[in-house]
Amino acid sequence: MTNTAYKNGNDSDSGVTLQGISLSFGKTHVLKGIDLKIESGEFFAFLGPSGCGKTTLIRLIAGFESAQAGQVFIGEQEVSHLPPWRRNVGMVFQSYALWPHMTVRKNVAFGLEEKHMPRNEINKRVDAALDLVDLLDLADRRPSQISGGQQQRVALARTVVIEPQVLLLDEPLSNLDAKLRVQMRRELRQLQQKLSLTTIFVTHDQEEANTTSDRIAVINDGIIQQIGSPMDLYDQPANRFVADFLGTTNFIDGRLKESGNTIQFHADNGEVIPMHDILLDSSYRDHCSLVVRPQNVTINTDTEIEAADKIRLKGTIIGKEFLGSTIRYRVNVQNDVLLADDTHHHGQVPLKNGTAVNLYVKRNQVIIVDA
Amino acid sequence: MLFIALFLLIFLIVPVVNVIFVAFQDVTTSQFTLVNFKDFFSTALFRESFWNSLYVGVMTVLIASIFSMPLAYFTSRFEFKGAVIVQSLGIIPLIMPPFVGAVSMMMLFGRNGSINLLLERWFGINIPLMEGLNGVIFVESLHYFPFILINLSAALQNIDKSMEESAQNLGCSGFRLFRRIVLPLAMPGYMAGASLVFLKVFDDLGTPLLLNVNNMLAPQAYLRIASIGIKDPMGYVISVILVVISLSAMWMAMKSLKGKDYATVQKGGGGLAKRRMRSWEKVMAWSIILLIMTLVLAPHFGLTLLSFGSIWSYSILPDAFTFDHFVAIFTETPEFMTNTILYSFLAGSIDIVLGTAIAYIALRTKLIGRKVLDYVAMSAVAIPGLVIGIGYLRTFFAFRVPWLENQPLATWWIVIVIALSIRRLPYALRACTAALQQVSVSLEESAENLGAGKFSTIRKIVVPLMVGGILAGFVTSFATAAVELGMTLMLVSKSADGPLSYGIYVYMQSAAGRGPGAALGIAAVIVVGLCTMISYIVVDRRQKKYGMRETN
Repeated sequence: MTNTAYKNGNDSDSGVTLQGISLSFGKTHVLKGIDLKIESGEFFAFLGPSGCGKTTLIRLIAGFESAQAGQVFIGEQEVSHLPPWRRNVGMVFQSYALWPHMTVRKNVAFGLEEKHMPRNEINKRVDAALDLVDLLDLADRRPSQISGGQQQRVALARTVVIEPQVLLLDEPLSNLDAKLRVQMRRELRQLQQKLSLTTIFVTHDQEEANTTSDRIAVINDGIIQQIGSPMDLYDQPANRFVADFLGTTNFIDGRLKESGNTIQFHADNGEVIPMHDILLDSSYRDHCSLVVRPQNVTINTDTEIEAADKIRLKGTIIGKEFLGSTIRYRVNVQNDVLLADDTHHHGQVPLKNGTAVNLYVKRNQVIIVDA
Repeated sequence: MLFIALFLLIFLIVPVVNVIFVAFQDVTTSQFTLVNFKDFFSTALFRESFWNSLYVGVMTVLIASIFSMPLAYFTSRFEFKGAVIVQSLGIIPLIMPPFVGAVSMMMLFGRNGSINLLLERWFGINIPLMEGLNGVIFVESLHYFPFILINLSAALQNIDKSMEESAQNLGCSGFRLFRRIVLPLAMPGYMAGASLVFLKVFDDLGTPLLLNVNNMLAPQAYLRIASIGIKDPMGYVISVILVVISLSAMWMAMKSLKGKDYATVQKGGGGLAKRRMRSWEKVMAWSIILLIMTLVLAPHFGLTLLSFGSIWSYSILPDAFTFDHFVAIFTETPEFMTNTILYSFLAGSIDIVLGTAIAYIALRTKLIGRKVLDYVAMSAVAIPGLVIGIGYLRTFFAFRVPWLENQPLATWWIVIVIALSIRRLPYALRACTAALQQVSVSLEESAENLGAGKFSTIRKIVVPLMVGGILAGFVTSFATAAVELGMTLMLVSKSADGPLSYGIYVYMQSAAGRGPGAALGIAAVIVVGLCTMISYIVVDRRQKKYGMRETN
């Protein structure tokens, strides 16, 4: 289908800039100095645990909250003091917020009617929007008469029909079942690409954020922890929170010490690991952690191999979880527990508990973060 | 906001404060004094009235509880076919104002009423069920027990099965389980209902007046003002006592509910575990229900007999039947009916406009004083109609209305309308607030997000979604305003301005007027009954139509 009606983003700058945003409800500081630049046409995600402030931030962009300090820009225009209805920012609510007393068509037409558009123009655009989300057949139903996934699409159509500069999605998939969620997130991404619409997506689900977004801001405790592409965040977490929040991680706590020409990592469990090839930041001297992803750990029961590019740890298997494509072993290393993934092949017999093993990690797959 | 605040100030706060002021004022010097209260408590009749009112209030709560408990228990605990009947039992008494039923109860259960005549003929005994305070307690508890029934049933139905099952799982069962888990969870609901009943009974003027029981507080206040005049301080002292006791009862109700939202129903769950009744239990349950139903329907039955009977005195049934009384009320005093419809319609309209506005201000804005506004409007519940009536007389008698031949403002019929709207505002406000609470804020935010301003959002989203609740509020206000007696008695200055309730009272004063009075009573029951039905249907249909869910 072709939608000539939807040409957005590319023509004018519709990036979102947040400068020094701080917001508190009473004595609770929800946002603490947020600085952020979202590019025009970008699919951007706010990712964080519940209560981290991500929903407050998106509501602030929509104009439903006002910050005690800081400014919000859309393109070049500051919108901090505009009421919600003057912002031209489309928001899809978590609950969809479809008006139960109106039909699907009426719901979608609402925003255009508020702009006092001529009737035939409204009809044309509503049809186009409903066609875009494949819901023309259900236009005369009421929201209570259609399924959750369909309601979600109506909410989307209702928002994009007004051709907003920015599309805000507040946990839009959380009310759908698992299968539908996977399908809808693909559709969201496709729709966003088609309309090249600046989109901000709020979610607590890293998989949703990873699969849809160009870039992600990981938020915790009212502070942006890190901004980057999904893969960057996963491979190069800036701090312990990001490393822990995204995926499964082993942390080995300890401190870095210089001994002669080399630098060694003295783990709290007593292990001493030479670190010569790793790029070191001097700020990580006292307390820090090695971050090792389970899939980067190789398990070996054979004789010891000494390889310069690998760290070797000795341990004993104390437990395992079968995850389908992999087996995740729990390995006791000097009374620390490390997770190590081994790919599972048909017919393979897993290692028994109590087996002594060598764990190998490539040095360039180890990251150091603050403890 | 300012307009509403002003309206409440002039027509609610000022009159009530005025009443309190006068109670503490020396009659001649206008100095502050406690002498009026001293006079009150040193007069034997007033002391007796005070204790009588308390006694009637407490006894009514007790008897009403005895009616309600088995009914609530049957429906929440058992798979029971009679549940529908129990539900209707929760409504039927409320559609007849107690003072309307009072006289017909006298005809049925009084010393020379049908039942006692039968008992005397067969067994030679006479049960003094309607003598003095007993009569008031009997009539009031039959009328008001639904408040307890409804609250208690709701509380029981809100207890999730898992509450009970986890107790059983931990080894608790039977009566112990009931006492330690079910009862405490249902207690707030019961207390709320009980305090409401106490408050209503304590303040009621019509029932004792029509049963000719004058040694209670409300009738004493009325009689003092009516016979001695609005200068007599005793009426004000009694008013203050009524207000203080009512406020404490309401405070107790609020306190018993506050922070105790015991609604524990989980998704997909609902209510206590239900089991089928054994046959002997069924027999017992049905006998209790039938007994209560007979009592509940007695006033309606008696009123119908009275309205169609020609002469009914010292006999089991009226001597003959006639339509004369209905003809009489339509030909001789049609103004009672037209006045009622006019007053109630206007009062109801004022109420929903104010109710919607206050609900919106309280729930959706951050205006300073919004909570106060809400509380003040709701507080009218605890102010007896009688007190508002006295306050209006005192406050507005001095104003002369230029376009009405300089008559006092207090005697103008519009004042009755305003007084009715103030008194019924809490009902409408509660309905509007509930309706607005069901409208999720995100429905409004999404409208604003799509370019609709505040006003446009209210007009196109909020009000259409509230319309069922608003309508229900209107109907409740309308119906209850139609049968308000205490206040109307004080404010009606001439018979031509009187509404139904006033007409019933005036007719019932004489034996000859009982027929037409009862006919008017039937008219009132029909009005209130129809309105109640409409409001149920409206709310029900709306919820089905939109598939509304509770949202936060």
